[in-house]
Amino acid sequence: MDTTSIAQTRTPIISNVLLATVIFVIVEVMFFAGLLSAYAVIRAGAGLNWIPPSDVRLPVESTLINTGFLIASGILMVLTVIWFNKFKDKSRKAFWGTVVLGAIFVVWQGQEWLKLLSLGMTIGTGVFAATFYLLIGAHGLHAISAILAMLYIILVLQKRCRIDQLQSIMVYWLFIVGIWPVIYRMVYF
Amino acid sequence: MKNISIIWGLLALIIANDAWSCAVCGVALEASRLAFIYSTAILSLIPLAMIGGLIYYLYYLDKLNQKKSEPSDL
Repeated sequence: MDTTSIAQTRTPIISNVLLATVIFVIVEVMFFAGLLSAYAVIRAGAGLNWIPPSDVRLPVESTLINTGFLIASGILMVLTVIWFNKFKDKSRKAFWGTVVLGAIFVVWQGQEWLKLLSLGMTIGTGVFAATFYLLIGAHGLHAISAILAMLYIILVLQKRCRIDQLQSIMVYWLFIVGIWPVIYRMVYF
Repeated sequence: MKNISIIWGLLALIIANDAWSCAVCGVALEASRLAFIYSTAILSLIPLAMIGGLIYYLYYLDKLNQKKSEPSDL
C-alpha cells in the first residue's frame, strides 16, 4: 500500500493547525511557569521587604473588574466555536464580543500601567517593579498577539475561516484567559 | 566500587547546601527554600502532565474514530 492510499483510508484525528497550536500552548505554559517560579523564589527570598515603592498601591479592585472582562471574553470565544456550524450570525457576533472584551482588557491594563509609571514605579525602581512589569507585560503581549490573530480571522479570512482555525485561536485565547487569574493572584496579593 | 559511588553520591547531597549549589542556598529564609522546592516540583511535573495529557487525548480521539468507522453488526 503506497502513501497515497494510506492517506485516503486514514483521516487525521486532529487538524495540523490545532495540534500545532496545542504544542505551542504547552511551550507557553512552560514559559509562564518558569517566570512565575522565578517570581515565587525571588519574592520568598525578599520576605517582608516585598512591597511596592512608596506612594504606590497596586490597582487590585480595578484589575479584578478587568479580570471579569477577560473571563467573559473567554466564555464568548467558546460560544463562537460552539455556534460556528449551526448559528453563523450568532457565532460572528460572539467572536466580535471576544475581540472587544479582550481589547478592553489590554487597554485597561495599559491605563493602569500609565498611572503606576506616573507615580514613579518604573521597571528600574526595584525588583518588585521589575518582576511586576515583566510578568504583566509578558501576559499583555500574548493577549495583544491573540487579538491581532482574531482580527486577522475576522477581517482577512472572513467567511473562508475554518472551524479548526477558530478552535486553534480558542485554545490560545483560553490559555491567556486561564493563566491570568494565577498571575493576578500571585502578583497583586 | 559501586558502594564508593553511592557514598560519593550521598556526600554530594549533604554538601550541596554548604557549596551553595542551588539558587536559594545563600538565603537563610525557610520560605525561600520551600518556594524553590515547590517550583522545582511544579516545573518538573507540568510538562510531563501536559505531554501525557495530549498523547492520551490523541489516543482517545483515535479510538473514537475507529469505533465510528467500524461497520455495524445489524
